[in-house]
Amino acid sequence: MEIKNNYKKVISLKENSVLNYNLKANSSACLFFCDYAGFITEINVNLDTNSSCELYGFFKNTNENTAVITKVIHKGNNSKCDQDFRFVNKNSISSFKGLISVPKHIKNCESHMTNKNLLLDNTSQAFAKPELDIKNSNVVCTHSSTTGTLDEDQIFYIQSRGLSYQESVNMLVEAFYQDIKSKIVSTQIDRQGCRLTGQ
Amino acid sequence: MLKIKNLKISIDNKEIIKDLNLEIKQGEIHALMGPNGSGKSTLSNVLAGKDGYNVTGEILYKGEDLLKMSIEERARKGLFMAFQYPIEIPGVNTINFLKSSLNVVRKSNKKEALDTFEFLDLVKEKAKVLNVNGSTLNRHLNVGFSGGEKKKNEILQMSVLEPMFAILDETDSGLDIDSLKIISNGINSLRSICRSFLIITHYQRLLEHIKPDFVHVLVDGSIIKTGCSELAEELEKVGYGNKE
Repeated sequence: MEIKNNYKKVISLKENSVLNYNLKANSSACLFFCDYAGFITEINVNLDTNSSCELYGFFKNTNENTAVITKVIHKGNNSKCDQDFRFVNKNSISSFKGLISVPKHIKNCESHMTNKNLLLDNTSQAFAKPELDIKNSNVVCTHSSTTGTLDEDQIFYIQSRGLSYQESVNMLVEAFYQDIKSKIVSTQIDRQGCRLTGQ
Repeated sequence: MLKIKNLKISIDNKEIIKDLNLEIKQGEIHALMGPNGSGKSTLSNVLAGKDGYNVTGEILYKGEDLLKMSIEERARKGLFMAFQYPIEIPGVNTINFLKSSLNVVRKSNKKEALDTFEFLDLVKEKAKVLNVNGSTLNRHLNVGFSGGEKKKNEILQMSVLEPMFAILDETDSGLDIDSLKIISNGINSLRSICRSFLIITHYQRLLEHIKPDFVHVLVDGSIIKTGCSELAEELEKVGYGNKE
């Protein structure tokens, strides 16, 4: 789809999908991918001059495998992009592959990619492949990926205040994506039917 | 309130606590002093229910076998530990955490949950005693807190939860003189004939503000001496080495 102004959306999908976003000059987009799991989502973003895009994803996988592939191409000067995709896996496998591309002639771009994975059991796995394809030095780009399990000391601390083990785990899972959730709230997107923020 | 009999605690076959016996009656304040590595924190962790220790012996809490209770069961039955190093939990709002904790404890004691307004009134009143400001409560739990703020937050949790038995694990370490006074006032405000305390500390300075009924000296996993509050003053002068 073509974006010319200011576009905000919470996206919840029911099947494997390829989504294309072409941001025209001076436009902006803020997209949240949540409330679904078990599919492959391919997100292609093309950024024109002075455009900016934020991509956030949160996936709670239980006995299901979810993959997200992002491809962000900075096609205009001064374009910006922030992406942050998080996966919580319970007996599940998540895959995240992200590419940021800045061609040689495009200047003053800024692009950041974050991927965080939380594994709730020994059978879960997370695959991550963050990539940068930068053809000039006049850019600011970062990418990071972390995978971890729940912190036993944090669970002990919460339990020592009276919450059960499961309540402590639930609290830490909520905490894991709390900042994305609060972004959805602060962005004032129409959240009708969005379970993530309806809690 | 708490009766410890022939307690032995080891980790990976290394014995940390060797045959410890201790009785803390209702309303009493006991101070446990000792050098680094004497087993003070191991004891408090085991009392709070932390995993990973090999424990033998008996601990009775209000007549029940404490070692058979889960961590949360202990908390719900009024046992509270103020952590030596309070854990940082990003993404969990301090005041929401406190509300969840209080209501879960109240529920298990068949009391009605407090609504948001009742809860905020209660916290405001308790926070005032400890000079804790509102912005601290809206931050993530212990994240970016100074050492003093973390310790104050522990005591705030204690004063909101109103436990029957409180373990203060080196609550005084890392505090400046003013914070020590404020925290001591907070602890003293909770003194009552039905509440007991086990105060773990290296120094006598906290005990200048909170007068204990008994002082125990723990060295190398055993209590080597028990006395009244004067023992703490004596230790301050002669150190632990001379007491062995």
